[in-house]
Amino acid sequence: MSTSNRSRLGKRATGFDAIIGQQRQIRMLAAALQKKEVPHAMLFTGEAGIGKKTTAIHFAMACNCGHPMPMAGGFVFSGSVNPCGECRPCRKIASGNHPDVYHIQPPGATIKIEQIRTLCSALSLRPHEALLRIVLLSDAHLMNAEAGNALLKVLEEPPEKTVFILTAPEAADILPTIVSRCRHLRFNPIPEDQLEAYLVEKRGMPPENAMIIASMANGSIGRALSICDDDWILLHRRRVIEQMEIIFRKPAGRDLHFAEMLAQDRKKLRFSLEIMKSWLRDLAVSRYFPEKVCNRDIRSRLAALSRTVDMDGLIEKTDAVWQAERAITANANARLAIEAMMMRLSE
Amino acid sequence: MAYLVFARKYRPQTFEDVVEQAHVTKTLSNAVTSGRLAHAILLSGPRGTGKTTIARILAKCVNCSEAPTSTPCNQCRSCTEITAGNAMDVFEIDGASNNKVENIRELRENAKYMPAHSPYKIYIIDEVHMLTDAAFNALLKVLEEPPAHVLFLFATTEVRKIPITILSRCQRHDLRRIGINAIAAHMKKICEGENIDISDKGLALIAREADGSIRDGLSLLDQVITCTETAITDKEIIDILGVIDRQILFDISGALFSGDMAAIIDICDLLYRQGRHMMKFYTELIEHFRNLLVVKMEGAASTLSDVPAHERELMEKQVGNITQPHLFQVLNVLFEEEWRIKLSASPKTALEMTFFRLMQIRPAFSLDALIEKLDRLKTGIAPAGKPQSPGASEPEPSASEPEPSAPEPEPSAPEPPVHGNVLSETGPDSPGDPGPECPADDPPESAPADPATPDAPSETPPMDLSQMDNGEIWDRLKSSICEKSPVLGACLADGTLTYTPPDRLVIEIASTHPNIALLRRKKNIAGIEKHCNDFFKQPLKISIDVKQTGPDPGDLKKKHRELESEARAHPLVNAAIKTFNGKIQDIKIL
Repeated sequence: MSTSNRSRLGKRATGFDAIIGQQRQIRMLAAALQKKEVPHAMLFTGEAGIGKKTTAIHFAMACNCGHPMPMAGGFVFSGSVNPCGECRPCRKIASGNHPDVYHIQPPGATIKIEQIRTLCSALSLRPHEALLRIVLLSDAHLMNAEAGNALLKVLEEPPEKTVFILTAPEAADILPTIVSRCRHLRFNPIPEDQLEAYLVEKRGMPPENAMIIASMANGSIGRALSICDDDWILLHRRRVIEQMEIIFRKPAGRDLHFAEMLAQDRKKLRFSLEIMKSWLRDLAVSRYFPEKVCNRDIRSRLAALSRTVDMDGLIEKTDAVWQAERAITANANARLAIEAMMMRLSE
Repeated sequence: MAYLVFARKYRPQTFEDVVEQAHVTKTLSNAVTSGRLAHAILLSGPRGTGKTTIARILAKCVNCSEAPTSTPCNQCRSCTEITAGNAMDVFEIDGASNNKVENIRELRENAKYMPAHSPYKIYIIDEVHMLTDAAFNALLKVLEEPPAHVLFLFATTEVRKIPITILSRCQRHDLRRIGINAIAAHMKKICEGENIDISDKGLALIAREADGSIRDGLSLLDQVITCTETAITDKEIIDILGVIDRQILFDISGALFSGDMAAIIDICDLLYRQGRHMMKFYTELIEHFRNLLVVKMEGAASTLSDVPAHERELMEKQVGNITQPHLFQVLNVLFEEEWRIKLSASPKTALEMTFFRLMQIRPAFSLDALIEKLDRLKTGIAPAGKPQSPGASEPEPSASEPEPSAPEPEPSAPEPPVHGNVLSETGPDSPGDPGPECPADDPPESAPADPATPDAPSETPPMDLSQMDNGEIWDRLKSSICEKSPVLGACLADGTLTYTPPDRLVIEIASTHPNIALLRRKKNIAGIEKHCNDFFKQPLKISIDVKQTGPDPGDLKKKHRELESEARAHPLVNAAIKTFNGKIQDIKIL
């Protein structure tokens, strides 16, 4: 684990209550702890950056904490299962130094069978000090076929006092034989209002920016934080939306310099296409259900514009953006793909 | 922590306990008792159907102190050791991690020694499909003719990855997916043993979600029991498992058929906020529409085995007004858009766009309905008693669906009366092309009795031109001319007509018309006049005017000249000429 990761985890570690937006999942974990019915293998699924790993680490702390505290109100179970974050095991786990908490993650594009073999041999020994040994296998969907199969036997019947936690975006990405051996816990996207409150309170962000970022983050706190760190995004978003409005108001084939601007930076490009898609989506939604638009700051402009566009054209244009995105993912020439998209957008 | 999940705690220890694999367990137990057990057995089947379990029970059967028996005692040394997983003579090998040829060589070396205290030395190789080619080949000889005391049991989920040379040396037993009812019954038995109260409907929900695998079912049951403190309600089960509530599917198809986009957006948002898996929802949605289609085709008594009766009735009610082709269209779009949901970074947006697209589907008429309509037209029967506003019901019930979401909500303007133009009749979207000057108070009954229908033009009395407006007269005249002389018709296509009572007709053609020279010929003018007289059955004064369009060329030239001289005199131009020592080559006017 890199040092930056460690410090980040350390800062976040203040018990289960610090995890936002995953109350249902935490309630399940707390219940399992409380009843002493911790399953030997769990699979956490959900988009990147919504708190799967954080929850797993807190769970490891809760399993091993020396002075567990009661959960905050609102939980059915009032038992003391909340990690204190201050005892030795808690601090060790939070800093990634615990000898019995294994963290397996892909060193490159995949998790290799060697990592699993090493893990299996380590697991055949008794835990050093932990009450419950935790194996955290993040991005389990990146295991290659050999690694995944090598994990099957130990995952089905692991040694005593051992709990596996696998994380992945979706259960469908993993071998069904692995999924069938795990208790599956879905993590939901963090509700926008909670994300917004978090950004305002914890990051000291002005509310209007927090609202925009929360809507762009797709329910992922990791994504929200990375948007916060890159301050160009908000500005960029405004420009993209303004350009799109111009294209829709008076369609003309003059937008190739906008295409050029977009295609220049591949990293920005991904965001730009996201912004366009969500803007086009809002335009469509605005006609039927104005309260549900994502870009809430420009709601009135969207509503005004949505009255003038026709639905077939809008679908056609959304399709253009999709096609461009697909082409770019398939490593097409970004400039050409974007220009082709612009042509279709301004039709 | 000595907690064991149900799947491990209730792993069957005898052949009778294995759920729904009688075709395998019966064969194997007979083989054991009659002493005809093969030396190499391959068990294959989907995850969680009992491969490893059967292999272990079989090992007990042959190594039990009462061996050979089909009901191992589960008490003798051998049986307890096998259950605990530390038997000396039963090697349970993880084929996926010990997949190298070295591992197989080692196995071969050891196989020749006699077992320690049991009749057989048993090698259970689980996940055998992960062995390397070299390992498989190293196994071939010993697999064909093993020592008499050796038994090989292989288990795998992917039998197609195993070389045929191995397959031909093994007796193969395929395990089946387990039916919903059998899973539910098994779980019910376990719940009774554990003193857990859970409704049959709840168990059926879990069993459905288990998708044919008993281990999945037990894992889910475990999860449900752990997460609830008091009685287990169906609602909690739905919430914990993330099962898509069937009601939501009905809501969404209902909203789609009635064109209620707002409701659909709301449902999508709800699913998203609950963290539902969009792809899973999409799969269920496709299945739901497929069921609707089956119900439409076969009626509620159809053989939808896994849909309860009340749902089938609900489905029938929902598709009552929907045509079969429309359902096909919906399904087609759903399949086409599947990759988007799968690949998108924001599946929710993709899902919504799919619904927008579904909303845009114009309900297609079935071919039968179309032919019927054409037939009616031909026999001169009114195609529809009245001009239809969008959404008005059609004669036959199959075509009477409401048009989903007319893009621009048009006030129910009456359709313009038809003028023998068959094509404009066929779709419900013909209100899209109303003649601009069409009078709204035109008596609708005039449409069926239209004298200009091509079948019966000859018996018509002279028309009352004062009752009609210019556009209408012109349209009829044009179609009549087109029929008799397509060339003339094409020439007149862009013209306009003005009728001045009582008997004056003026046809105006723009001077820029490509065929203007053709129209100026005397013969053609006479032809047009003759057509008109034939058509209107009354003497009319007809004149053809050529309308000057665009600015006068003389004016234009003058203006250009002015602009040019202005440009030449411009101080900036002069300065540029001076600085660069240039001269004016050409002046272009934009």
